[in-house]
Formats: sequence, C-alpha cells, structure tokens
Amino acid sequence: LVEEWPDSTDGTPVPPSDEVAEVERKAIQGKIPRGHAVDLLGGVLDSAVRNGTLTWDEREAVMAELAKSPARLDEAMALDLIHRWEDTTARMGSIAAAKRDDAFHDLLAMDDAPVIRAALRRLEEGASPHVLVLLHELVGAAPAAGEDTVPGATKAWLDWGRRQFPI
Amino acid sequence: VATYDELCVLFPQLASSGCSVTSPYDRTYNCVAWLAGDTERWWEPSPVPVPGLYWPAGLPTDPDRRAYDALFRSWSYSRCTDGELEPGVEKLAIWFEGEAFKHVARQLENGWWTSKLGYWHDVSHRTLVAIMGSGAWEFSGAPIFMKRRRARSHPLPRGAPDLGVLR
Repeated sequence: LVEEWPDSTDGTPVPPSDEVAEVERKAIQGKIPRGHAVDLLGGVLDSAVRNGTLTWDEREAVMAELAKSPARLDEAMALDLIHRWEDTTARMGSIAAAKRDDAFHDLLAMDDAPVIRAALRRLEEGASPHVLVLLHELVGAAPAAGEDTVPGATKAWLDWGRRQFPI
Repeated sequence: VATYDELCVLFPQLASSGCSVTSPYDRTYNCVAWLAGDTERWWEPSPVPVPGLYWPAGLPTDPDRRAYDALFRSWSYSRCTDGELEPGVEKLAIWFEGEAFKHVARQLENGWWTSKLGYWHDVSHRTLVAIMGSGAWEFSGAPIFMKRRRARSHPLPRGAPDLGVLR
C-alpha cells in the first residue's frame, strides 16, 4: 500500500508502513469492515501529522485520493499481500508449499476482482510463478491454457487481462 | 533482487562454508528445473494443469513425495544413505516438510553442491550445511539422498558456467 500511496513516487512523505500494514491486515481478515479501513488509515495519518512526519495538507491530499476510489485501496492491499506472499516464500522450490502461507489465504479471502487486477499488475512487473498459480486459483486455466513456460503463461495472462480490465 | 551479501544474510552459513553464485536472480525456473537443465520452466506437479507450471506427462501429479520420487527415479536416481562424494556417482539431496517438497540440490564432481535457491540465484556451495539451519530461510531437517552413475557431462542450461570445475 505504501508503494501505491498517492504521490509517494514524487517525494511526498508516506505514512508509517507498520501501522498501515496493521490496518490492511485487520481489514483483510475481516476484523474491521473494509469500508472503515480508509477511516482508520485517516487515524494513522493523523498520528503522522502529530509527530511531524506529514503536514496537514499532505494528509488531506492522501485522504482525498483514497476517498475517490475505494476499489483502489482493495487493489493496493492485494498487491501488497502478493508481494508479502512472494517474499516470505521465495526460498521454496514449490508453489504448493507456498500456498500454505497466511498471505495466500488472505488473498483468497478477499473479493476476486481487486486481487485479479493486482495479480495482473504484479505480472507486469515481471515473471512470478506464484502469481500464475494465484490467477489459476481465481480464474481457472482457460486464459493461458496449454502454456507450460513461465514467460508464455505470463504473456497469455497479460493479454487476457488487457482485454478484461483496464490495467 | 537479492545480492550475494543478502543471500549470505538469509543463509548465514553460505559464506563461511564456501559458496559461489553462478547465475543471476531469476524467477522463471526452480530447483527441479535447474536439475533438468531447464531455465524456462517451473517444474512442479499439480493434479490439474496450471499454466506456467510444467511436469512431465506420465508421472504422478499430486504435489507430494511420491511425485518427486517418481521424477528422480525416471532420471535413473535411486535412494542412498548419504551425501558423501563417491567417484563416478552423482547424488541429490532432497528436502521435504511432511509431504511438501522444499528443495533439491545436486552434487558436483568436486563434492560441492549446486542449488537454485527458490526465486534467487543458482549457488554452488561446499557443503549441504551451508543452506541448512533453523533460520526462516534455511532448509530444516535431514535431507533424503538419491544417486545415479554420473553422466559424462550433465546437461547444463544455456550460458550456465561449468560448475564441475569450481574449487
């Protein structure tokens, strides 16, 4: 989520990542309604303003951006979870073993659409057998059927994604 | 992307026991593919075909010990008791956690081992202990061993260094 934070690429300070991650996790696990996640993130931003990490104007800019598109929040949360899943299981030679990780189950517990969009965005960053397995789990094999190489399947999924979603 | 130094943090015993990074970071193939000399595909059994994953036809497809045992036996390996260097013999060290496959390393002619470490690099390491331990990234538990008569030249992926001459 921090990577996706509005204007985070042009030097605007980002909120404290640990607290953002905690809010994300609670939202994903259903411990808080996802619709309230933005409000909670507002609280995180308030703390950042109080301790001087963010100015009030920067806090307002971030909140305005989030309010415009709740779907973007879900997608950003999913992308963050995908990265986390890959990072924590990167040593494994088997995706079947990696599927035991909590992050994978958190992804499956979310609505499909933002996870699929996030998975396609992740594939645009580069090859990921993890994401190929995740997409297969959510969509089935059809969009990339018959592709047995990672580059071939990646291209097939991205072609499909460009037809299905504005990624 | 993990650098050599980062790998040494994740696998603390790598540097002290002797190792050499022999390929770039690459998410396209796994340790089983590396064993097969295939740097285009991620070799993993699956009960249903998953685009991007490859497993030879005719072998068991449940992602458990039986499938991997069948694959290695199809390459003429058979079970043995240890990873000691024997002239003219090529050995594998294979890690499972329960039924879940974790990693396979192949012994080189000079007694070193070659591993594709998950998403990371191919690494030649002097000992198996170099990648073993209780750390989050290390492989735990005793590996099982298999062996076969060493081929005159093991097929290596395009551009791979001649791993057999490392000292």
